[in-house]
Amino acid sequence: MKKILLLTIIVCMLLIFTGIVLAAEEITFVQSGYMTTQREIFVENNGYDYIERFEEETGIKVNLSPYPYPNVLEVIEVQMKAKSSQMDVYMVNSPLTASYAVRGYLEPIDDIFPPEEQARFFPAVVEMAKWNGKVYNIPFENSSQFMFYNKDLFEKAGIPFPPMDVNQRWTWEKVVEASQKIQETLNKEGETKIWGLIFQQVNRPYQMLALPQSLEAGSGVSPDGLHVEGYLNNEGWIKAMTWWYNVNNIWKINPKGVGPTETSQLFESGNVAMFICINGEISLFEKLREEGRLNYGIAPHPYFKDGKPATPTSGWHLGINPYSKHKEAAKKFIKYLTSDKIMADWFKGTKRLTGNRVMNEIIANSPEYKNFPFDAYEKIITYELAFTAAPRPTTPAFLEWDASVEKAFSDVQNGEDPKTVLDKYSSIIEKMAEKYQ
Amino acid sequence: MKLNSLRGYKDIVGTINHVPTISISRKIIPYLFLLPALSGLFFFRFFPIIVNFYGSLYRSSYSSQGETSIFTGLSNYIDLFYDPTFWNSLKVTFKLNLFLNPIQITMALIIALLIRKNTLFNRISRTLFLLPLGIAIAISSSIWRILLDQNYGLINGILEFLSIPRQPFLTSSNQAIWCIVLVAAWCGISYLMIFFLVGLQEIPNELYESAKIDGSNNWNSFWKITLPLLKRTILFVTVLDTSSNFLLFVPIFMLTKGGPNMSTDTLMYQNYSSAFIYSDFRRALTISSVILIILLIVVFFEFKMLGKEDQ
Repeated sequence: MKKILLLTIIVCMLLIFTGIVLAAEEITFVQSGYMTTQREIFVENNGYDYIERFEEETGIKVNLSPYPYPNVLEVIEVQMKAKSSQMDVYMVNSPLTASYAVRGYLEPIDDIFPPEEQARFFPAVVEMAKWNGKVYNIPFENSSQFMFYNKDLFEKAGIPFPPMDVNQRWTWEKVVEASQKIQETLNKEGETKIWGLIFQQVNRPYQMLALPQSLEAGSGVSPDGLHVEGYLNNEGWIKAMTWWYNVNNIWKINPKGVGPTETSQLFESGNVAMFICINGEISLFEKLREEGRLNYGIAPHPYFKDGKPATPTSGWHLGINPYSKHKEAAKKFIKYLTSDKIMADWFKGTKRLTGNRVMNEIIANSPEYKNFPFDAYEKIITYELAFTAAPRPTTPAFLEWDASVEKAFSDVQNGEDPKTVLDKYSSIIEKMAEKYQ
Repeated sequence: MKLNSLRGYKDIVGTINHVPTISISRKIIPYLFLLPALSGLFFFRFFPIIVNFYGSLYRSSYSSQGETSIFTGLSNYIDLFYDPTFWNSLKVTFKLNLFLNPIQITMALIIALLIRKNTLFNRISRTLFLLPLGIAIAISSSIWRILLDQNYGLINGILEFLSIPRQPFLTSSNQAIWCIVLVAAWCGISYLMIFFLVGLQEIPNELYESAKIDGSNNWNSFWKITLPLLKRTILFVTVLDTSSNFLLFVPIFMLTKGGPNMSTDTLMYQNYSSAFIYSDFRRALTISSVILIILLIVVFFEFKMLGKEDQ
């Protein structure tokens, strides 16, 4: 009797053990919230799901864990501070590479992203994946900007459309002039329903940094990435901030109190004449145009008359948690997601730029990119990425810099003195960056 | 039946009193009953405080080897002392509490007095006043954000209708703090009102009746009867309100994020941004300890001032 019982226990244990071994390996992918919608668009346009295909091909199960931006950054901070192995792969806001690398938040991945692999990607985005000579992530997306404009509002105000030509791009001075004319013509006295200009990611350095960069004032950080005093509050930055102050408080062509999550809706509803926006929104606007709800045009990102064109760029990369218990599976996953095939389908499906050069071939060869609105990719984006793209600074204190500069833009928008604000935040960031020096 | 059970109880007590071993258990048993609550209190309250204070004595440093923690004693506290953003946050926290607490407590007391009697109208009013309690503070803050919007908000619409210029509210460094006071007061008054209602119901009606016979009017009765007899409730509500408003976070997070120009950057929001935006957990731990110390001092003085007669 005892022998039978012992045998049963051994068989049960063996079955459990075999079950554990044979069970599919699982990885958790922490991603920015927008990926959920983009995945649906991808499936709709490509006819397959990239996550399901990866699971089928490798037998590795992927748990998706999406968080809205900027909460996703907080989630990463909390998980990494706790040295948690819960997430295996996560999306890295590319300028944060240095910050994460310095704090040990990223697994170096030189082994899966050697120079010959790097050659498949745009050199500028590859540089953003490195810190101190090591590679910490693989570029997934890249980005560029358009100035979308509402054709109906321009026509009503009798203003000619800005051309879709990088050699005839509008200056910020011209944008202000047109905005004022549109608001004067289309709004009743004492009431503002129509706004001249709005930035999609209002006050966020991602988009606002192009203002001082257009005045050749730099990215606000010293070349070694450890200081801001004299860089964030230099003359060019003060000039750019003064322009932003005037836009909101003197010319009043941009609505105050509207956050980045609300700006697109204002443009979609026809209340904004010019919208500085990431290229990825083009599919959404095109859908509205086809439904007859939005009559829009596309022009290149403006610049200051006394400066040079500078356009926001960079995007999300894919990194591996150094505390992950499934590093090999995680490596397979990020290699798969950044492969030529998936990147090509990602670009074709979502129209979002990729870090992988494969998108250039699609733009050059696909007839879809010869007609409006997607001809803007060839006429504007390929030029911007090659000549005007101005990335955010590379610094281990990027987290502190980014949040503080956003507050600085927000305070100036709300009527604070530009120089005082820049001096204040320079001193705050300088203090916070001490720990990296 | 009652008498019998009482006798039985006395017998048992008598027996217990004569057996020394049971006497020890009598002393231990109450503590055993308290143990689950006390251990909860220790692990979820005192232990985190100890860990928090211990963590605030270290500093993070970053090098090519990654993050290292170095024991630096009170240096984080000294840094905070020389940090202008900390002093600004302290000032904002006190300003907020100085106005918000009296407004909440006074309004809660007034409303409780008005709806104290058990009439149909008061029963309906009570329900209406308690409605804010049923709405999560995050949701009510979002609704207030829409109401206070500079461009499309209802309140500005009403002002415009009354030919009063539109107000910036949440985007003005002079007005934002008052908007936070308004929202927090709206959210908190009804909660405090419940305590006052309970306190008022404990005051015997006979006292008011005899005061009335002696010629006292409502005003005098309030000052001579209601207020003195509500003193314990007022003390409790004041301490509760101070501690919750010192830790006020949601309306600030939802409406202003500490701005504009740091005008609503309370200690609690500084704490959050240090930890989760700037990833400076040591500074956050230090601020948490400072908040606790300040709160203890403030509550100590509140006890001193309001608890005088009871002593």
